[in-house]
Amino acid sequence: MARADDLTLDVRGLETRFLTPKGPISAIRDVSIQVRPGEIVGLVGESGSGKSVTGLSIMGLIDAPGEVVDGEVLLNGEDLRQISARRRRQLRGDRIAMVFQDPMMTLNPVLRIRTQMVEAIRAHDPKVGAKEALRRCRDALAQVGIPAPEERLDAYPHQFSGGMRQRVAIATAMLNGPDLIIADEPTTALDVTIQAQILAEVQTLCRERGTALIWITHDLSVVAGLAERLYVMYGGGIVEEGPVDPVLDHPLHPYTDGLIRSVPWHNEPGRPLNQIPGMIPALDRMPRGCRFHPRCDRADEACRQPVALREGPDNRRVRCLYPLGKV
Amino acid sequence: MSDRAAVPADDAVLAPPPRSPGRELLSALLHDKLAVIGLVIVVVLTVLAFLAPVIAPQDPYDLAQIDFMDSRLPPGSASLAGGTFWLGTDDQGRDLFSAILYGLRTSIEVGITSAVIALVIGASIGLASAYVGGRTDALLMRLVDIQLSFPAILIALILLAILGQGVDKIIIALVVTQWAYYARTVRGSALVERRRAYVDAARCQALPRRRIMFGHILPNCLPPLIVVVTMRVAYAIMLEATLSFLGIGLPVTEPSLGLLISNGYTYLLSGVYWISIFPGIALVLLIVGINLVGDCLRDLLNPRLRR
Repeated sequence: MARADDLTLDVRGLETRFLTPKGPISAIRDVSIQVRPGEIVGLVGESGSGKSVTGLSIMGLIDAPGEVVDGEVLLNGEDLRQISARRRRQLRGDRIAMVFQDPMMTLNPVLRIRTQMVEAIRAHDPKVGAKEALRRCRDALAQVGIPAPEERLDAYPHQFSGGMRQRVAIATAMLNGPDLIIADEPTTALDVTIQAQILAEVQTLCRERGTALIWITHDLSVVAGLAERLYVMYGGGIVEEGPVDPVLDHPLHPYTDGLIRSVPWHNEPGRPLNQIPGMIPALDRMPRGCRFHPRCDRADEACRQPVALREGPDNRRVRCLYPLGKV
Repeated sequence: MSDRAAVPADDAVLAPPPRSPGRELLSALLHDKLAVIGLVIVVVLTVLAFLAPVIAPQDPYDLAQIDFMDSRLPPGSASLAGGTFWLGTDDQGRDLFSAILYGLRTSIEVGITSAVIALVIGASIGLASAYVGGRTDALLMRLVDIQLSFPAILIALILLAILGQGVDKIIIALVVTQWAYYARTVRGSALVERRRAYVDAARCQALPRRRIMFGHILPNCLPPLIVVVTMRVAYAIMLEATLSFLGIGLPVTEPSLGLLISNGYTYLLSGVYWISIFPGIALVLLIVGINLVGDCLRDLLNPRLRR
């Protein structure tokens, strides 16, 4: 385990609760994520597994009735939960940025792209002159593959296609050269060809600039090609983590295995598709112990007790008593 | 870098040169016949009103120009000085055409000034209410509820009774009676807008709160607000006319249309109709014009009726 100051992001034991009429419910619990400088990390899981809440919690964007109740979020060694609101504002958008899922709505529909990008620069460096700010916007747009950035700066978001809008959002996130970008399913709403282009561009950009990236997705095939390390979430917790290839080739957790088998890729035509039986339980009805045990064919009585993350081979970790393969 | 400039096909055709939403709205408005009629009425009346000192045959407040012998002359009469009173004269011998021009100017000034001040106050309160939420929101909105549960004219009457007469006093009274409408309208839209992802994105960039509220959320709340503003300007002008008619609005030295109407009121049944009727027609034209524009704006800005 690397020391905290070698890491761009070190999240430890993060827990976020939402107050509901039925009482407080933990949407994520004991989530720990480590990202090294320039590393691309995938965060996968099905809908409702807590991926987005994790991203928002790291950014400090959880609104009432939600609240981050426990854990540390160390960005370059600074705990985002402890520092002053002023310092947090300095870091947010400057050292750490976020790209959201819906490219239709993440840009303000009534403001020109120019306005939105320039103010992202000025928010952190009010001294930047108008010309210099515009030049940086142009460069950022050109880098994400937007043709004629000069004219496009004056356009409104509705004049862009979905893919173009997401490129603008990524360019905006990159403007201040952050150390870490959290991308919450940014290509989910796009078709595969555009997705492939954007993935390639993001990968190149991160490599060139040494920007670390957390890519949140439910699509294993995206992560397989993009990420170096992988965190698999289920029911608000991390169930498996490790380098992408070993995790995808030889999953340790039965849930990861089920997730991989569910990709139609692995199926022979004509045979019924593989599924994981059952559904992800509602947050207020999470089973005790291993949260996956009601859907797991390897589970027994012992799985009803809390299960700790165990170290595995190749820097892998898994939260399972009966992992597939050797631990 | 050139290999990355590869473009997906749908963007190969460049969109038409970007126009601002405001200009698009204006061009749509100019394609609507009723809106154009309303706009023409409002613009012509406003121009006439503000050119009053230039085009009015007589300064109705300069006692030296008024001859008492000219009083209550019917429309079209010749004046002693040699001109013609196209709209007749009132009971003090003032040329009604001139008086209406000056009255219009006062009415429009008071209406627009009060609407703008009420808009700034109301919109700020509504925005803050929606953005901060919680107890602040509840408190401000109950205040709005209380305000709206009293008839506007009653509040204005009480205020003017306390404050006395004067242009500034009536503007204060009109602002107090109107801000709540703006606050409620803005809060309604802002509550929807602040849940949108672009607000989260703006917060991610750590933009200052003020900038997010006024720079990002407010512009998205403008469509309903524009409609409310036009309707409220018309209402403010009407309310001012009513108060002046009742004799507690503007002082006699700065007569508005309402005061002119009330001047002729006593003679109305004795056949001297023009003293009240002509200022009345001017008032009606102005209100109808503004409302025509407002109606069309409402249709244009309603996303459900559009496209």
